Amino acid sequence: MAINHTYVINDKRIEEDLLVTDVTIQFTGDITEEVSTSVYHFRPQTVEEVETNIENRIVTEKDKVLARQKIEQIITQL
Amino acid sequence: MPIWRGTVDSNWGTAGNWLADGSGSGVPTALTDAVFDNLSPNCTVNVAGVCRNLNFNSGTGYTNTITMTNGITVGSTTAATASSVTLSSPMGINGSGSISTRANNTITLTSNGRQWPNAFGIGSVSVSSVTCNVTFVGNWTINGTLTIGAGTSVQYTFIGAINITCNGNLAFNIPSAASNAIRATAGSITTIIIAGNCTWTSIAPFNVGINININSPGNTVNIGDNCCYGGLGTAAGSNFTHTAGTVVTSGTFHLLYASASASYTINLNGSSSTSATTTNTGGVNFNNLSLRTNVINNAQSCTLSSPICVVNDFSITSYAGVTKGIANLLSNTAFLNKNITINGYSITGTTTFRLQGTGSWSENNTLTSGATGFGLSNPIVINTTGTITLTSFVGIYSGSLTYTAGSFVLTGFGLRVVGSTLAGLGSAGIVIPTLYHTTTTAGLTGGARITLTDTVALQITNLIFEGFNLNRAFAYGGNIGFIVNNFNYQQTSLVSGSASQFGLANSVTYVVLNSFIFNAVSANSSSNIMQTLNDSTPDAIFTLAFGASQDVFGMGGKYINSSAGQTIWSRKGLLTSTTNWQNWTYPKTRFSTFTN
Repeated sequence: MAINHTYVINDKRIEEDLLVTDVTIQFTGDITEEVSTSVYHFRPQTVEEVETNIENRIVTEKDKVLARQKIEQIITQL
Repeated sequence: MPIWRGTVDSNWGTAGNWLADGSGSGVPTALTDAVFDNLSPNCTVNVAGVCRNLNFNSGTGYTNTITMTNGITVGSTTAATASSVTLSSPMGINGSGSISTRANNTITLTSNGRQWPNAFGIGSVSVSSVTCNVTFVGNWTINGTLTIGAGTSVQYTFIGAINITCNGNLAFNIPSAASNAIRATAGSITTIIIAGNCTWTSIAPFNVGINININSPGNTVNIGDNCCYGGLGTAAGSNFTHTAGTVVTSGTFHLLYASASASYTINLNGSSSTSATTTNTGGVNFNNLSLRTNVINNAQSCTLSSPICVVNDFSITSYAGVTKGIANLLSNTAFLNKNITINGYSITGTTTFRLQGTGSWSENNTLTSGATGFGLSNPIVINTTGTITLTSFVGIYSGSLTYTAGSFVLTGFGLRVVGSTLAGLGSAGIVIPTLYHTTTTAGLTGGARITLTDTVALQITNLIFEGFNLNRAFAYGGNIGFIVNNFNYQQTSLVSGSASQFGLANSVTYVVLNSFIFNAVSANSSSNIMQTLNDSTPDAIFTLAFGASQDVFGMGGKYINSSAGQTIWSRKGLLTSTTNWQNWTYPKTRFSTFTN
C-alpha cells in the first residue's frame, strides 16, 4: 500500500505551555482524503521536534482513515 | 601485633615468620593484627589469611611483595572492634587473592596511593552489626570486583570525599530492608567511579546515597537487575551520573525515595529515540525503571539533569507496608517507551512523562473517589505512532495530559482528574468513557478546576463529580468546553459556604446530551450555583440537548445561557441572570375530587 501525504500548517499559536498547530493533511495514493486537525506540542524545544510531532500525528490520522475504511468494508459484508 | 619477618620461609601461615609484638604472636587471627614494615620480606598468603587490622605501612612502609595466593579477611569478629586496611605506596602485589573486610562498626581504609589489583570487599563479611561506618583516607583504585555488603541487613555509612575507581565489577550485596543503605556523609560524599569493562550487580534494591559515576570511555558497563540509587542516606549533592562509556541495562533499576532525606540528582543522558534499546553508547537507557517509595510525607525528590529513557516498563512501586507512596521526579523529560504502572503517586513532580511507544498505562486499585494520594502531577504527553491502552482508571493530579499523536485506547476505563489541564484530546476525536472530576479545594481555581485546551470540545461519555465536602467547588477553565452524554453531579454531603460553586468559563459552550443530574443536598443555598468563573458576563453557554433527561434540585444558575437547548427546570435552586432556566412552580392549591 502506497500512501503519500503532504501537510500545511494553517495556523499556529501559544496556549500556556503548549504550541498549537492547526494542520491540514492531504493523503494521496491508496487513500485520498484530507484531514484537518490541531496538534498540541507540550513545551517543544526545536522546530524539528514540532515537525516530528506532526509526522507522528499524521501516522495516527492515516491509521484512523484506514481503520474507518476497513470498518466500512466489514459492515457491508455482515 | 604480629609483624611479618619471614625468618622461616615466605608463607603467611608459618607461625615462626611473625614477630610477637603487642597484640600477639604467631599467625594473625581475627583478634590480632598483621603488620608489614620496611624490614618485612616477601610474603605468600599460602592459607586463607585472617587478621584484625592489616597494615602494610608500618615504619616507612612495606616495599617488598605480597603474593595473594589466598585471600585475607580483615576485621574482628566482634562488631564493635574497629578494623583497618592500610596499603603502602611501593609495595608489590602478586596473585589474585582478595581482601575482604568484616562489617565492623568502624572500618578505616587507607590506600596511600597504591592500587589494589584484586577483588576487594567492604563490609563483605558479616559480624552481626547493624551499622558499619567506613572512613576512606585517599582515593582508592580497585581493579578486581568491589563488593559492598555481606548479604545481611547493615546500614553502611561512607565517610570521605574521595573517589573509589572501580575497574572491575561492582557488586552490591545488601538486602532490600527499608533501612538498609550505603549512606553518604554530608559535606564529604564518597564517589564510586565505575570505570571498567564491567558489570554492576545488586542482590536487591536498597538505599544508595553516595555518588556513582559511570566514566568508562571505550568500555561497556552492564547494569543488572535490582541496581539502585537514592533514598535513605543521600546528602546534599548526591548524584548518579554518566560521563562516558557504553551502558547496557537489564532487569529493573530502582530509584529510591525516603522521607526527610536530601534530594538527589541523576544525569544519565537517556535517549529520546522511540527506537531506543537497552544499549546506549552515550548514556543510560533503563530496561525497566521503578520509582521505589515508602514515603507518605516530607517527600524526597529526584532531579533530572538530563533526560531519562525507559525502554520497557516504568513504574512507581510502593513498599514496606505503604500502599501509595510518593515519588517525585523533577525537571527534564522521561521518555517512556512501553508500559506505565503507577502504584504510588507524584505530588510535586515536574518531569514530563512522554509516552512514546506502545504499551499499557495503569494505576493500582486504591485509586478511589476523593482520595488525595493518587495520580501523577507530572505533565504527561501522549506522542507516539503506537498505542497507549488504559488497563485501569488512571489519575491526573494537579498536572496535565496533552495528546499530540497516537492511538489512545480508554475502553472501559477513563481518568480521575484533580485540578489539571487536558489538551488536544477533543481535536483528536478521543472519547473519554468516564471522567471522574475530583475536587480538593474551595473556590474555582487550583484543585477545583479542570482546564480544557483544544479546538474541539472534549467528548466524555460519563462525567461524574466526586470529592464533595463542606466547602469544595468544581470548575472548568480553558478555551473549550465538553460534550457529555451523562452528567452526574450528586452531592453526597451538605455543601455550604461561599466557595462551593460550579464554575464554567465565560463564553465557552458545554453540552449535555442524554442525562443531566445536578442535585444538591439542601435547597436554596446561595453557594449551590452554576456560574461563570468571574461571576459576571459574558455568559457561559450550557446546553441541555432536547430529549435529554434532567434532575436538578437545589442547584441554581448565574450568568448561564441555556437557550440552545431545552429549558432547565430547577427545583428550589437560586436563579440569577440565567437564560432558559426555570424554577419549578409548586401548586399553592391542591384540588381534589371526591366521588360519593
